Amino acid sequence: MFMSYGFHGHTLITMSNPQHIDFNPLAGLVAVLFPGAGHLVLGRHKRAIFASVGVLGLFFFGLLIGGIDTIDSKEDKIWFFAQALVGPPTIIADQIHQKQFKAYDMGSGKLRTGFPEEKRDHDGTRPIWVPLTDEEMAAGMGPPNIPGLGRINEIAMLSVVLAGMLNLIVFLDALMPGPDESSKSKKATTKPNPGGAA
Amino acid sequence: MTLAYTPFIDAMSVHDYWYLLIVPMAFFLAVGYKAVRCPDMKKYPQAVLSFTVQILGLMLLLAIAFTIVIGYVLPMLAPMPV
Repeated sequence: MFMSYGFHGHTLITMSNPQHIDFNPLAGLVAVLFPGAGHLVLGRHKRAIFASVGVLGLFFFGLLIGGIDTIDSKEDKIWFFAQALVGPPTIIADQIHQKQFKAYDMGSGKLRTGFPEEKRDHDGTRPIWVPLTDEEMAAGMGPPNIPGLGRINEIAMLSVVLAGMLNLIVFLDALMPGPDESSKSKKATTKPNPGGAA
Repeated sequence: MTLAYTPFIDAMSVHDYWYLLIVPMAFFLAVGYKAVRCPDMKKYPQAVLSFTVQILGLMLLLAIAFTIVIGYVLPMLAPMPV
């Protein structure tokens, strides 16, 4: 921080002590495991709860509007790199998506999301997409999930990406915590002044 | 498997209201960001509200600016043949 002093028409600029920043690897490690948990280790409970609500709110809002297809490590790889910054929730959602909702295309042999006129079946070795019969279509059958299209898909993916980037800020704050002004002001009001001086 | 809507599995059909989705996103972003960047937690609710309004206001200004550029300025500079 710079401090300036007026001096006979000139300005003298001096540098004060930089703000003290700690390094807490334990809080950083715990922050990787769950959003906001690093601040719990630091004893900043309020901040931990609000950080968790912010990150997980964005994460679940994205899943709510875009469905499970929002997180896809195979078909939306670049988006997934940023989404993975949320941590285990993204990895778990992606695993469920790949294993429970996707199947192999019989023509190309690639794992993909189903089309509206297909159903998920099993050929004994792996899940595959099978075309629906007219009766099945009339009965309203289809793939296990309806993927988001266009803007809805983009906004949903963006919401989970924002959750990941926000969690990166939360993680860095837990790893290298600065002084907590709230606890400092609380201590200042509760601790008696031993010297009695102002 | 029938095609009935399942929350968190199927995409929501909110294509007509896509622009309103920015409001909860801006709010959650403000909640998370101000949790680690607000110096005094006593002022946290005001900080969250202020940051949410700032994001939405800036997005509105960007939308107005892009509408003017694409709807009025570009057609003047490079008119399309009718």
